[in-house]
Amino acid sequence: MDLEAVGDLVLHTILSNLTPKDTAIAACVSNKLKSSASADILWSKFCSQELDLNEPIDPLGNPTLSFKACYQAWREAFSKYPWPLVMRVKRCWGRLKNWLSINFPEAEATLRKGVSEIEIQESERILKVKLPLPTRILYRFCDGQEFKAKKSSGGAGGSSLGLIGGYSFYTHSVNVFLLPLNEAVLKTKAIIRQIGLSSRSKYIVVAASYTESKFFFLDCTTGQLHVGTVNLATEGEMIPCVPNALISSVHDSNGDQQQDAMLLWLEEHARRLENGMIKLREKGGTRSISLFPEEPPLCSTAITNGVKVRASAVFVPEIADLEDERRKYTFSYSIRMSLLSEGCVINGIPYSSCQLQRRHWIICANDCVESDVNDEAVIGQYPLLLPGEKEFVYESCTPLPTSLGSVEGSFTFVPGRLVDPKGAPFEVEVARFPLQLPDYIF
Amino acid sequence: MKFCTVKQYFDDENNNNVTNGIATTVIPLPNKHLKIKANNKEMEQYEQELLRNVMPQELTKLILAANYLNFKEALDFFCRTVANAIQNKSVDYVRKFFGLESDFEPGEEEKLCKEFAWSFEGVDED
Repeated sequence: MDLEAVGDLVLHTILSNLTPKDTAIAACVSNKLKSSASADILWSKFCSQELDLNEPIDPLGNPTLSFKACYQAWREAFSKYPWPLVMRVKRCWGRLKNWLSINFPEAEATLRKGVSEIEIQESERILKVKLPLPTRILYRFCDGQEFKAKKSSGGAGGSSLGLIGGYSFYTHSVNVFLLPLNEAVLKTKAIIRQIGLSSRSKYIVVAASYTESKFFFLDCTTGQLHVGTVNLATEGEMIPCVPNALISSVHDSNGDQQQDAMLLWLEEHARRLENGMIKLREKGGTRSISLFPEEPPLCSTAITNGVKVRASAVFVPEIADLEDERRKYTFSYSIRMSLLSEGCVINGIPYSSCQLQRRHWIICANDCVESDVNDEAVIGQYPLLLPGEKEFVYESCTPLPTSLGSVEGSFTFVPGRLVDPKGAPFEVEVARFPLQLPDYIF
Repeated sequence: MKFCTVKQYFDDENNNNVTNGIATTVIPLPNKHLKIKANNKEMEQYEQELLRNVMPQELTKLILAANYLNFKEALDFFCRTVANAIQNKSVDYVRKFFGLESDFEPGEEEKLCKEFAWSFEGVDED
């Protein structure tokens, strides 16, 4: 067809329907096409669509002279990887960093810049493994988190900025960080030696909580992620963290369906943060990502006479003991109670406060009652609720012989205070919430 | 809007810009377009058929006709057809398609190919 006859505007319209690849090919055809194909408006669209970039910034964070130069720089920097996978990984980190920058900037500040190909190869050489493709690209974009492993003198661990977050109940406190590659190498060597995981020589530690020994291992051969149970040190016992069926082609650079557990795990985590299933929690002046679900169906809510109770549970893999029939799985649950701003209203009569006296707690495993407890207080406390105040939150835990169960119950509250009751005690519902081994374990 | 220009064309018998054959392809387009606007798959099939039946040289004339008739939908459609025709093809194929010669300085083309090395994978056989 005759380009001269149709004119430049038509040529531009034709080019604007092309992919970046075909636009590049067009630029190699002749001077005229090179000029039209170099129009930066075309490349700014590609940078926006494929890399979510509104300004021309190269992979190292430096501005480039044009969007075309920017796109080129990205393609060259990742030329050895399937481009759709690169875009997918970039999007995943983009979502996580975006959520952090809005909600948890102090944690975003701990994210390290990506490693180079040379550093990846060196780590692979030392550990004698070959990282799955998606994980390599994940490290190219971000090399884990800067952290201080030393506990502060306050004894609280001093590190609450883990990207994966955690939970705490009684003295058990967990906050999971993503390890930088060089830390991963050191930690892997130390643990493999300590535990003697010679059969797991292709496993590397990728995430950990420095309190309570919670470690996540990436199996470089299969691409699956595993978390150590209570028997990690003695038996090397672990639980897979991602549905096996989803993992595919982790070492195949020819397809475009590569996904390993690390990528799937981080994408799922991003999803949960974005849809509010998990949120930041503030406790004792420190903020951290809490893994207790905040939304139904995993989190139940009930309001009785103005007293609102929210409840949800999280699976605790590092205490799970797959060899113990009775106490195979352990769940921690978080109960949040508050008094609505209208106050405590019983039969139309308002009271300005109420206080917890007793609990009735029923735990079921597979619909069979495991325990039915009727006792005073909650974790030894008698919370006093005032209207419109912040939630009173407490955490506890329960072992379970099965991977599925539930908790429900009620609290006995007294209007006014226990030392000065203003009326008769009343029951407040704790709506049933599930105890469930999740498909993604964090 | 579209029908004004078409009417004008038919009234103007001295008009040589658009041959009869082209008119029969371009003019039924608005109806066809509206009918299958909702169904993308059908549009694709129609596109493929058009591509098979129409030589690249004809496309020039089709585009010029659509341009003259101020028929934006048809123009966009033809431009998309051209874009699809050169999708995933080699530099030489695209050159032949547009009837162009390489007018680069010696060595410049090689430099360009190196610059765009990432675009040369998985290209169709000519």
